[in-house]
Amino acid sequence: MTLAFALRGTNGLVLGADSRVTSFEGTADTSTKFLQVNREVGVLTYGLAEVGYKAITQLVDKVNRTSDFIGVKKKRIVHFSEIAEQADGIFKQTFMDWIVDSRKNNFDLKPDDPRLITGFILGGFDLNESNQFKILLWESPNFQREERPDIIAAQWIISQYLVNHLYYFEMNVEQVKRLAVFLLVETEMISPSVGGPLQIATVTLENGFQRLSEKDVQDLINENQPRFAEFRRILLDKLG
Amino acid sequence: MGSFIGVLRVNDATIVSTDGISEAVYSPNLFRINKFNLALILDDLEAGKSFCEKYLKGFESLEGGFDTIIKEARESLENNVNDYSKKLITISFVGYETDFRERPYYALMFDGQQINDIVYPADNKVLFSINNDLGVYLTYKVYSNHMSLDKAVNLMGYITAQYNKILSIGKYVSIITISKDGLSYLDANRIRSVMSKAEEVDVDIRKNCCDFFMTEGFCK
Repeated sequence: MTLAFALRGTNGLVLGADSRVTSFEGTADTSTKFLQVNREVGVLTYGLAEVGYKAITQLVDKVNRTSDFIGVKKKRIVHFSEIAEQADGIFKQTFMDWIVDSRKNNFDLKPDDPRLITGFILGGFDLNESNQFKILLWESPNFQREERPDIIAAQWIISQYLVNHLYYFEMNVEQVKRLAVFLLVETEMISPSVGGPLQIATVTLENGFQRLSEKDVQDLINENQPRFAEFRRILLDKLG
Repeated sequence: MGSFIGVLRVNDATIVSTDGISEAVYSPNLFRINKFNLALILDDLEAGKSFCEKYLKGFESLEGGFDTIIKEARESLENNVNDYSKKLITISFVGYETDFRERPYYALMFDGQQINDIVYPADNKVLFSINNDLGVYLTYKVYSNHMSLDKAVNLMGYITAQYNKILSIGKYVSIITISKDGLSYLDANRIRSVMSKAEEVDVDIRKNCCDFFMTEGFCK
């Protein structure tokens, strides 16, 4: 599994995921779980790594082909709603193709098997239509598109507990970034399927989609050290 | 989603929490085997309950006797596989043994065809049947082997309240302690007080953590 989320700040979104991929052969911290789709939209995946990576790459390719100058007669910007429509088809098709292919080895494989849950989160600014930040979710087996104020998915329960106690609607993107690192670090302490380098990006109107460098993430982890200690102290005071 | 059952072990007791059907009524997920042992029905409530009623009665005079009970339960399931052939049954057993290091937590899982045994090591202090991570996380933050029974009960109440907030496990909660004095069900008043303390702690935690990420002055 993984931890993937999209959280809303007053001036933008913060997208986050770990990079661990777990299979029967073991774990590796090499997975790319999110990609930039265009200037102000990003996409994340969780669940089956093979399906997820293939589908998000395909979405990015398709959107960029349409908006690219080369090979397209008329250049144009692809709107958020168009990206979502493309995603409707690509996510479900890629998942079903994988199921059909895998049935060659395992005839009983069912799309609603809880071990196969795969999901996608699209987050960004809808510049051309609603002029709003939007977060959309697709999850197997139906991949019915759902709009949400925020999303925490896959290994989500520790993060949901922390969000219940630490998140405020008034937070700006800078503050949500610190919270995002807090969620990832606290979750990976407990969940063996969450770990590896943290992948975090922000989407703001001024700067669009911006992925944090490894150094930026490390700085945020260091900055959070007193918070990890303080949170533990508070829990100990109240419950220990 | 199966039943919600949480088990927390401290030095001189085991605390079990589960979702109940009504206030002050013993949860149907639990089956009292005798003074010191309890069966927790995690999956298929109906089949699990019928199995317990049929095969786990008659141990009343057996004090402790965890291993004997497990052995009998396993044999009964093995000998009557056909009665449960289309059922998925998971029953866990918790009991009091005088030696903490040897105090086991054990589960029998039957998938309709074969029996799987799950033995949790003694250093596994906490186990939740649904989304185990949150219970482990909160316990990890504050756990000590030598926690008093009262503190352990309050911790279990707090963890259960968080599961309830996030997963809506059920309106009512049953909490049972197993110590050298045997099984003890917390009465409705005590449970109300534990859950209300959990709510107070929750509010305090949110207040105390308010300035973690917010601008100075926001929380005053």
